[in-house]
Amino acid sequence: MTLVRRRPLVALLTTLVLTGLMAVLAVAQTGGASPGASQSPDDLRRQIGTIIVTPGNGPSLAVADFQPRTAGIDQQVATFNMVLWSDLQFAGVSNLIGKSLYPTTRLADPASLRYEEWSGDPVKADYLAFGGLTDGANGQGFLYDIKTQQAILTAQLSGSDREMAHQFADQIVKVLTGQDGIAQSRIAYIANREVQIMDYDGYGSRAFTRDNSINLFPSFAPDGKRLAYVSYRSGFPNVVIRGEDGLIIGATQFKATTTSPTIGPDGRIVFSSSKDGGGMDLYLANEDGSAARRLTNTRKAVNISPRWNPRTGQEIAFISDRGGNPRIYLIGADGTNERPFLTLGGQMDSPAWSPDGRFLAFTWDGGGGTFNIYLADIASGQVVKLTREGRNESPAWSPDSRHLVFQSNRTGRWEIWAMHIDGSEQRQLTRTGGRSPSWGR
Amino acid sequence: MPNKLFRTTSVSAIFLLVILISACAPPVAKIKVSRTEVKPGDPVTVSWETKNAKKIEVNGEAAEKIGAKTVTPKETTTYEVVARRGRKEARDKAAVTVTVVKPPMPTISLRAEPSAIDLGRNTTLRWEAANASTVTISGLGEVAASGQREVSPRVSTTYTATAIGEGGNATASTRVTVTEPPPPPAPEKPKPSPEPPIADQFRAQVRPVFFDYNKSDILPEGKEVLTRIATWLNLERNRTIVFRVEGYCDPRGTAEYNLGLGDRRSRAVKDFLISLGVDDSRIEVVSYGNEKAAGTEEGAASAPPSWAHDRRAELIYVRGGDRP
Repeated sequence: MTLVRRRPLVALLTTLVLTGLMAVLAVAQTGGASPGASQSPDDLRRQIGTIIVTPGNGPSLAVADFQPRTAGIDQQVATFNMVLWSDLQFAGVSNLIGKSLYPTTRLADPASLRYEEWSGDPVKADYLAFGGLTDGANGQGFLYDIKTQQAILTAQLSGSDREMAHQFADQIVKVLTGQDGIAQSRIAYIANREVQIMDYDGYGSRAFTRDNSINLFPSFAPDGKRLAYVSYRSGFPNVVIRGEDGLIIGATQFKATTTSPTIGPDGRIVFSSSKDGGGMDLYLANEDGSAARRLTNTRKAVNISPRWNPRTGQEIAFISDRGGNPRIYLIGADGTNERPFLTLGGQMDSPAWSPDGRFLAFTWDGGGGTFNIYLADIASGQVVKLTREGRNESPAWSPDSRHLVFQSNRTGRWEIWAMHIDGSEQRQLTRTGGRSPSWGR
Repeated sequence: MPNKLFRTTSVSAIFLLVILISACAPPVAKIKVSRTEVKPGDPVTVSWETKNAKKIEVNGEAAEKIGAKTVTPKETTTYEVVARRGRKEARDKAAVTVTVVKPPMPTISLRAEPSAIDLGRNTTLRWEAANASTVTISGLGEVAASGQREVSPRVSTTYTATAIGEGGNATASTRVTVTEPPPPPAPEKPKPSPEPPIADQFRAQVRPVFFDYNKSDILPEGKEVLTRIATWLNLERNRTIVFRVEGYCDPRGTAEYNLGLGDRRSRAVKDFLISLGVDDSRIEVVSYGNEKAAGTEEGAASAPPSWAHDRRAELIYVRGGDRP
C-alpha cells in the first residue's frame, strides 16, 4: 500500500539536476574510502542535487492562502499560512510559486476553484494547495493536480494553528514524494545544562530533563521513542536512556568518563568510556546500557563520538586520535573491520550517518582554526563543504535524510541551526542559546 | 412445337428476369445496440441484419449476414455494419456513449473524545470513512472503515487517519493532548557533611597542572607540582585520602572530543602520581572537557579567564585521611 499516486513526479524528483546549489566546495579526493574511486568532484554535488529541489526546478506548487470560514480567527489563519509556507519551503520537494503571482480571488473551497487561473501565466502551477479554517482548531485542506483537474488530497486538520499547518505540510510531502515529511518532528538539544525538546522549526521548546546537573549530547533513537544523553548526576559523566515519556530506561554507572551515546536501530547502544582505564574506547551495550562489551582497544588514544549506521545497524563511524589528530574511522558492530574513513588533515568530530546510510556529515577544521560542517559520500569518499559563517559543529540528520541540524556560533553565541543537505536554507532555530542537537521524529 | 418452345422460352425469361432482378437488388443493412449509454466495463449487445449482400463487415471485421456479439467498450464507440454486393453497398451505424464516472473522493473523519487526558488515562478515537478501500491510522495500522478504539498515549500525540480509495486520498488528524503530572520536586541534595580539616589541608597542598594546546603530556612545571603533592600524599597520615583528578580543556576543540582529551589529561596526572608511589585505588578521574571553559584568548595560566588556564587538571579531595 502506498500513498503515491504520482509516479512520474517521483521519477522527476529523483532525476532532477541541481542548478542553484549554494556554492559547495569540493575537497580533494581522499584515500581510505572505496578503492579506485576516481569520480570528479561534481559527482557528489550532482547526487545531492537529486535530493533537494531548488528554485527553478521540480514540480511547481502554488499554495493559496487559507481562508477563515468564521469571524475572529484572522490571527490563527495568518499563523497557519505563515507556518505552512515555511514548512513547504524548508521541505524542499517542490518549486514554490511566489504568492505575488496568484489570482486575487479568494479560494477556500473546491467549488470556487477556476483551473485556468492557476494553469496559465503567470502562475503555471502543477499543483495547488488551498483550504480554510472552520475555527481556531479545525480546518480542511485540499491539494489539486491542476493538469488533470483532480483532487489528490483532502485533509481534515485539527489542533493549534501551527499543528494544523505542520499536518497539512507533511501530507502534501507524502502525496508528492511518497516519503514522510518532517514538519511534525522534534529536535532535542542542550540549553541551561538540561536536555530541551522543541518543534523542528524551533517553536515550543520545553525542558525534557530537570536533573540539576550537567547534561550533554542528547541522541534520539532512530524511531524517536527513546533518548540517550550524558549526565554528571552520579558525579561522573554517565549515559542515561529515557523513554519519550521521560521515564528512565537505564543508565551506566561507571566511575570514569562515559560519553557520546548513540542508539542503533535494534536499540543497542554504543558509547565511549574510559571505564577500563587506558583510554577512551568504544563499547556496545544493551538497550538499557547494561552488559557493555568493548569494541576498540587502542591504549591511550581517544576513541569517541560513535554513531551507528542507522540503515544497517551493523557499522559504526567514530573519531579516533590514534594517528595524531582526531579523524573519522569505521568499525563493524562486532568489532571487526576497523579502518580509517577519511584521511584529511586537521581535526574532525561528530560524524553523523544519514538515515539512508549514504552520507556522513561531520565537523572539520582543516587547519584554518574554524570548524565547518561537511558532507562525505560513503561510497566515493568525496567531500563537500556546507557552512561558511562562524564555527559550525555537531551535525545531526533529519529522519528524511534531506536536512541537517547543527550548532553554530555565527551570531556570537552557540545556537541551533538547520539546513538542506546542500547547504541551502540555513535557518536559526533557537534564540537563547543551544548546543548538541539531535533530530527525532 | 412452337407452343412448347414459347413456354420454355417464357419460363426461362421469367427465371432470368427473377435472377436479374434479384442480382440487381441493392443490399440492405441494419445495426442496433442494446444500450446507447454505458459506464466503462458494462456489456453491450451489438446486433445486425443484412439482405442482398455478399460481403458483410462490422467495424472492419468480416461478419455473418445476421449476427450479434457482446462488447464492453472502454470509450465511446460507433459500431458500423457495411453490406456489399459488387459495387453496391449499404451502411448503418449505432453509437454507444461511454461515460466515465469519476470514482468518488474518499472522505474520512476522526475525533478523539476526550481530546485532552491526564497521563495514564484513555481516550476514544472514533472514525468514519466512505469510498475508501483502505483506512489506516498512525500508530494503529490498518483499521476498519469505521470504528472506535481506546488509546492511552503517554505523550501528546497527533493521530492521522488516511483513507485511500480509487478516487484519491483523504486524511483527518486529531490531537490528543496528554497532560503530565507536575514533575516531582527535585530531590533534595543531601546536606554535605561538614568537611574534615584534612580537606582544607589537601586544598592548601594541591595546585592545578597545566597543558599545551591539544596535548596531555605533563610539562616539567607540572611534574614539579605533582612531585611535591605526591610526597605529601605518601605521608603515613595521609595515605587513606581518596581524591579525584578533573581534566579540563579550552574551548577551541569540539565538545565531544574535548571530553576525551580531558579524560586523557586527568589520566596522565593519575599515571604520573602512581609512578611516584601513590596507590591506584586512591585516585578517581573525571573529565569536564570544555564544559567549564571560560577563556576567550590564550592569555596566561596564572590569569584566568584564559585558554591557558582552561587547559588543566585539578585535584579534588573526596574522602579519608581523618585519623579516628
